[in-house]
Amino acid sequence: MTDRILLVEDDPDVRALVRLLLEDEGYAVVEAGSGTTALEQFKRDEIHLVLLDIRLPGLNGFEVCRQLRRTSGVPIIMLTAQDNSHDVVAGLEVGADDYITKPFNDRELVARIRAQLRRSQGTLDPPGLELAFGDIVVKGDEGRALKNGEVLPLTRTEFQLLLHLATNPNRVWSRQQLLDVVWGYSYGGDGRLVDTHIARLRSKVEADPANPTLILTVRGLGYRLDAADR
Amino acid sequence: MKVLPHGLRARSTVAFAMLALALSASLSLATYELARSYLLDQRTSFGTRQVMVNALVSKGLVAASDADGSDLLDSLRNGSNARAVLRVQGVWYSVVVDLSEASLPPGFVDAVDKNGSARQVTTVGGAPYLVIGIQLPGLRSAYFEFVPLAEYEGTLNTLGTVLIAAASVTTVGGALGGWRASRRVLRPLGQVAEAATAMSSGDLSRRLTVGPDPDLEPVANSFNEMASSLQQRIERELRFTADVSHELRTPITAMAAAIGLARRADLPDRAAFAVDVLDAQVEHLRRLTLELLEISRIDAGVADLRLEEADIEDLVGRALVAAKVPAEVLRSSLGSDLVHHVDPIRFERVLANLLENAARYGGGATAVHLWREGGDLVVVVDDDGPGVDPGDRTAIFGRFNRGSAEQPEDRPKGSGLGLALVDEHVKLHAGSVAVGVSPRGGARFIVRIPRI
Repeated sequence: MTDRILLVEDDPDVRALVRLLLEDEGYAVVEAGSGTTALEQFKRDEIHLVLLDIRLPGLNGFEVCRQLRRTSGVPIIMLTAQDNSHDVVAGLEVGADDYITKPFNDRELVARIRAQLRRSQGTLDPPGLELAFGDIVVKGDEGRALKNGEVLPLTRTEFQLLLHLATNPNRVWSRQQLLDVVWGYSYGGDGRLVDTHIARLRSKVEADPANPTLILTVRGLGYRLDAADR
Repeated sequence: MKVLPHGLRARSTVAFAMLALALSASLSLATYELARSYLLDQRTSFGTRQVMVNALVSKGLVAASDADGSDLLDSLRNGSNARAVLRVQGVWYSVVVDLSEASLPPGFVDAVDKNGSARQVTTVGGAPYLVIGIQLPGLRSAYFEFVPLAEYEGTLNTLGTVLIAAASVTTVGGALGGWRASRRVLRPLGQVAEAATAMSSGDLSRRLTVGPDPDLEPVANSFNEMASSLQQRIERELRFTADVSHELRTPITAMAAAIGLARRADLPDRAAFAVDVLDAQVEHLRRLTLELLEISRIDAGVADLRLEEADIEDLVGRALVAAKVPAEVLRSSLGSDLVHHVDPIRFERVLANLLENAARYGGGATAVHLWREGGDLVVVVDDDGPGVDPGDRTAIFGRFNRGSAEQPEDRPKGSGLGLALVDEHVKLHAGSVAVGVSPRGGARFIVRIPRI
């Protein structure tokens, strides 16, 4: 099956070039030149990944991302300007899974897309894998987590992060290790990706996200999932 | 020679004091003079009347006394306590011992002989006297009496003291009034200065509150107008900067994407070389626009510092990974004191630029030290390159100033803004950056960020 990518970018030249590049790599591409078109296209077609520019006429990328996240956990890669690092954080906070700065390197773009798609589709874990921590139950084979019996609205990245921490409870993971495992970066990457995803994950699984009891920060080292007393 | 102090307030204080002094001094002088002549008049007319009576008594005594006058003196002494001197037919008699004809002012006896009577103020033995002389008609005699003025002088002295005290109080009062008045007048100026300081440190929306004062209102209004137009201009410039950023980013993105696409095809050598050149130039253009925008944002005073309690070793570690520098170069003596208030993004940019600089000119960073001095965080980046000439050590932080270092040929050209940006980012943290010599003779960059 060919993966279909929704490419949201207002400059037609950039759009045409990226489409050629992605089609070269064997992906199907749906184009959108504005935020509104992007939302319409997303409803019309089955989309496996969204490549989303932030600066768009009308509805901007942050708003598009927020609206997509209401109904979907589809992988979203933001295209951000490099001179505005705060856009990166803002984009991740509204639910993007990863980001790439403009202008981008073609190899890097393809690598990021591949990593996101592999993660979101690969057969993950042995069937029947189920991990329980108090009121949280992680169902590895179903790709979802429950809190008090209700399905948590996690994106795929958030779920992967939770699953990875849960299968290795009490072990401390550095940001770089989490980037390697969850995002598939073999080298480099941005620790803020991990930090913002941890924050979003906490806001869904923790009773009080400001004082987490399940997903703990180990200062200077990274994060761990605390399985004690549960 | 400068006699007057410089400050407006000091000058007005002195001026008010001088005015008060001049006014009170002239008033006091006039009062003193008036009082003096009035008192003297009073004393004179009173004394004259007294002396006339005494003289008449003396006349009677002289007429009744015998020729040698020895009993005359006795009668005079018994009859009154007046300080009198008598000349009876050329012979002088003194009623009191300390006053005699010698105590009379020179020429006074002649004046009495000539005019029948005379009076004059004189001093005998340091004490002031009004001396009055009267001829005793038909007896070839004259009566002289010394009326003491010491009491009157005492009164005048007291008055003088009181007046001087009053003048001093008035002068001090004037100075105080001047100081207060000038403070009132200068207070709006202080507000203007405060607003201007606030504006120059980035608070462009700061305005003066316009009071109902008709003298101050125009000043405040024109200051506020100036502030508004300044703010508009800066905002326009910023919008322009943001627009330029967007406008340049799109073509650079398109070019980079086009180059990426071209590289995927099997190109003949010449075309591949051309694409390589394009690639390097687009990369240079990308960095240049990025750093120009970064620095212009700081210049415009809108670079927001987002301070966080950050784990410094973690931030430095990330920067090392991103710059592909082996993690072993990090030598931290922070221990458990890892947290410092920094803007993580800017801090990482500082590290990235220093590591990039070390890679470009010093063969790569050989050590990154972290330590504390007082509460300050010190970050040191060492390399083993040729070091920085002492004469260049300030200049290399200037814009597009690469010092006298050789440009390496195997790396893309630097933007010439990297170290200038380091300087700006560090200054935003109220810190400092300097360059010295590393232990093995290369360059050592020292960044110091104070604790907030």
